[in-house]
Amino acid sequence: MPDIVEDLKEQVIKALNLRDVTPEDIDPDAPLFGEGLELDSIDALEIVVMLEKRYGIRVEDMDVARQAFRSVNALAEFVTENRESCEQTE
Amino acid sequence: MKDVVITDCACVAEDGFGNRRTWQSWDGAAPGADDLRWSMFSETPFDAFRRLDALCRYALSAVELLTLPPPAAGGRRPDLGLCLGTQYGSLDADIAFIRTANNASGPSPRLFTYTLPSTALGEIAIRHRITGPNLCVLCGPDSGMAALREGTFMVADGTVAGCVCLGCDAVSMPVAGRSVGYAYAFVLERAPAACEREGPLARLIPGDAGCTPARCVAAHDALPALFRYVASSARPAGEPPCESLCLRAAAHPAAPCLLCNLDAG
Amino acid sequence: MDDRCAIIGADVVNALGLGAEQVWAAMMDGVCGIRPLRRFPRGKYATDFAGELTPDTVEELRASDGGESGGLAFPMALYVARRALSCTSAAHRRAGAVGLVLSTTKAEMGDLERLATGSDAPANPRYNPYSLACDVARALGIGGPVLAVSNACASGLIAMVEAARILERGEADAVLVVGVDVLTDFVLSGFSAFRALSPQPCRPYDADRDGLSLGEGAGALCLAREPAEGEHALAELAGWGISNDANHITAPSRTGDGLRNAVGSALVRAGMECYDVHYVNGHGTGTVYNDAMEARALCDALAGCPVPVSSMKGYFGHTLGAAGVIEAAICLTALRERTVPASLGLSTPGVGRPLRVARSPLALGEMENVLSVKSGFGGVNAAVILSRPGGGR
Repeated sequence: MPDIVEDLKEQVIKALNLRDVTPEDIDPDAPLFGEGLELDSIDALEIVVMLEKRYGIRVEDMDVARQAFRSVNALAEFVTENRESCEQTE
Repeated sequence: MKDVVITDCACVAEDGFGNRRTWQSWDGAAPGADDLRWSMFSETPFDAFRRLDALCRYALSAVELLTLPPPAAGGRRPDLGLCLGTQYGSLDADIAFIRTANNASGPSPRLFTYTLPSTALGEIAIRHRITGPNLCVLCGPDSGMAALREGTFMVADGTVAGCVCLGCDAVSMPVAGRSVGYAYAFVLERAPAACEREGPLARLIPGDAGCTPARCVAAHDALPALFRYVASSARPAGEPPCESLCLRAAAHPAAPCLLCNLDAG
Repeated sequence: MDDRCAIIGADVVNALGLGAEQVWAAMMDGVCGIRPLRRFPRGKYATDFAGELTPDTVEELRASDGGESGGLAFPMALYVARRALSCTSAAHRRAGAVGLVLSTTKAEMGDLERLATGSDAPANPRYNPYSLACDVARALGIGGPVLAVSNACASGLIAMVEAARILERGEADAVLVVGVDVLTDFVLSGFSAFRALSPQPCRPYDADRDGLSLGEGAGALCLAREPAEGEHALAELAGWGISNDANHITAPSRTGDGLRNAVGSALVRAGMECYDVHYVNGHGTGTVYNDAMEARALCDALAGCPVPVSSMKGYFGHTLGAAGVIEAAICLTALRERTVPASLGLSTPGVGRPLRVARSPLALGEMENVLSVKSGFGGVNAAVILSRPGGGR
């Protein structure tokens, strides 16, 4: 789990081109959207693309995404759960 | 036809940045789009600046340096138009997007947004709550001039009370031969109302009225020349302004020109 | 002052065929041009459907262009432009006084795709909209002002407005407006990443709509202050309005204020009231938010007048920067035939407002004026009113 959190921080910074932000700057419990990093709906789509390319997770429903993208920790949980289900079905 | 005046102008260019009143040369080489910092142009925070592509970075920086006409009730500017002229458009974002679509990272939705040059107008509209008509034209080296002309006519024929006209390009890719990064922005308004607020201003006259062709500036230089003419701040010390400046499209020398006169007094 | 101008020539190419008559006939027959992808790999994008040109159409286009093997934007634009220009009476137009306004979002993007991914670089950068415009103008011997308009999905209508302004200023005798956009990996990947594509052919204004279908094509209109001897006005451009939502960079406004204001400006400019509008050619992309925004804006702007509305996207997809011109050209046929085209793909209306969406073609004897609306990325909205010649107010 901690590995995923660190990896996600790096991936989010890379995917969203967050200049001047380092992984240490991101509080894993802080909200990603609206405040904190001030991400918007296009950033959410950017994270969806990243999840698919990096972890092979397809996000079908953007309402599910909104819940899962609350914070980096929430995102890590989402990745862990969905990676397992992917592995089981495949 | 209504009289049109320039109430403000601003640029972020290769030699420096400034507006009608202030000018600052770069320390050394001009910064690239990635090196532009919002704090250079504004005291109001704008976190989303880091997300913008190069074209938007130049365009929004220049517009931030402008003093815009006051908004109407509700804080919006429905009577203000937006015209952008750009030679290369979204070329940089296009190439960057194609690369993401073909590599492991996958097509970037953010980059895709900027593969339309008119996105710069959308970003300006949101930041300054400008809800009037938009136009984004590509017209080769005449692009900035075309935007200025269209804006002048939009104000002159009463379509809008004012218009922000921009000439902007940002290209780092070798396809353009060299890298380019600049934005020139002008605020045009109807004469009596604007002059009452701001005092004597530069007048823009469409058509060939009183134009001396010998003094014509060809279009690819038109916006920089107009900026130096209107912004006394950018004029070399001691150089008096000439009587008038005539701007002409390069590709269509027969097309009517724009004449700019500084008001006396 | 009457600032109307006449439309004296028009033509279209898209997934339904080559030429306005062929396209109209297919629409009246309820043909859907949104089919499984042919030029692109299936399974790669969020959908396997798009409004692609048929192989027959591509072959005919290539033949008319001397068999060039480059991208499709140039041959499509040239074909429709030539046909629209053929309606003008050359004898009564000053040589070199015809202008061209090109409307596109991505021009010949296929050329740039090859360049950016490293194979051969095209000598002529037709991926730049202005370069494409200049090439089309050169091929037609056009000597008047040439420029390109790129205002996202509202480009086509804004290009028509720009042409009218050039005419009003007396800078040209006639102006060709050419709208063109091509299906490419670029737009298919981009709209996939945006999750804006329906997995099936799009269903504009339907309660179960789930995204848009992309299309490709070109449309051309020839505008003049008035028809010269030997020319015939197909319609008049009676009014227009343009606005920005200043709300969100990609999402449509929830209130519809921007589009409502654009329609309001168009009505004022045309000297019309809402009941003068007999048909609305909607934008109707088939995305949840666009169609809801549009329904709200139209109901507000037309003050509840029960005007029939339809979207053409269900027939041939969203042709992006060409959509405004292609759909306006088809509206001219609708005006001539006094027939409202249906909104293909509609089964259960559901846009949150009582919009009168046409389910099947509707003969409308009183049809004099058509309102066309388009909205796009960057919050831009445009509205244009087209009238039967000499009719209107």
